[in-house]
Amino acid sequence: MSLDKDAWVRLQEMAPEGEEADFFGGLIGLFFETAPPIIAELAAALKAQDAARVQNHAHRLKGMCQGLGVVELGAIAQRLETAARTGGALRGDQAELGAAYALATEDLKKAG
Amino acid sequence: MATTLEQYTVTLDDDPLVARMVQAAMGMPSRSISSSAAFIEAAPGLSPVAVFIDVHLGLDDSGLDLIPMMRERWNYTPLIVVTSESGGEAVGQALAAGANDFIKKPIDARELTARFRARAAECALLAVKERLHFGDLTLDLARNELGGPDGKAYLSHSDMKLLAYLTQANGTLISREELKRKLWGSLKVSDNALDKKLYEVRQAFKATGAHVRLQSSYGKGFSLVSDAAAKADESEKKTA
Repeated sequence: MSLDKDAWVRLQEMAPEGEEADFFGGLIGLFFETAPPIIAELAAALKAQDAARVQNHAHRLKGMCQGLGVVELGAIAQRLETAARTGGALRGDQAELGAAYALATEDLKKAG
Repeated sequence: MATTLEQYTVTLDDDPLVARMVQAAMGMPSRSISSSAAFIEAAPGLSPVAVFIDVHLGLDDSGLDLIPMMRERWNYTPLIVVTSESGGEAVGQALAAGANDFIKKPIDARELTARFRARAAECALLAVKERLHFGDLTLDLARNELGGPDGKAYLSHSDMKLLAYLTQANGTLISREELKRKLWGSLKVSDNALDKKLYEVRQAFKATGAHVRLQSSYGKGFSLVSDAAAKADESEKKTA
């Protein structure tokens, strides 16, 4: 599993006693629901080389990934957000994001 | 039938996971709102225990812009900014706009609840400090608002300052000169200016239906009298 351990310690401390499974299941379900459209918009913004949109979508994705300890996808989002904010090269595409999302899906399904 | 008021927080964040986390950490429901427009629409019907606000809500949307409106609406509710921004600029702006505190993402439940409790205690103290009571009249100094049995009335800031001074005197006489000095310092002001303010205060009393009078003692000054208290005294004397 390549999820960040510290993030999961934080989530375990946060989980309501006796309702841990529902809590984790709810968070993971929301991630599966919310992340794909953000990734699609981020990929479209990358294709258009639109820095403002890249920064916005990468920031949202980064926050969600940090919350659930999704390391690889979170690192890509962080890299893109920084590049967009600082005027750096906007390198990345749907394939890279999709592969990282697939990895996150596998890890989160195991964790949940 | 007993009515139970539901306690809840509001989480203003375009990431719906954050509201779930806040809910778990606080141990009470958190209403998730994802944009400024949705918040403005919902705000009049909300009475939250605390508001957690994300700085970044999308391309041209920021939680920062709503903080002054929240502060105006909920004087004594902790407003806590939740941010993953690395610089301190957004936090500085949020605190200047009226937020009480901030926490960094990812959220740590213990930090979030500790900060909430500390800020809630401060807000509760402030609420006590900013409210004065005389008879059945309540003064909310932060809102320049008077409350009584029939409803509310509003005063200008300086009229409220005058009334607060009279209220703190707790029924004792204050001379015309002392009231003028309190309001205008060393400026020479006509009696008429003070009389206008006293008139506004009396009108506000009427609007609230409070059993409180502003009594004028010729040549001596002014004092507040609670008729409710006077009536109670009379009936006590009769029964004694």
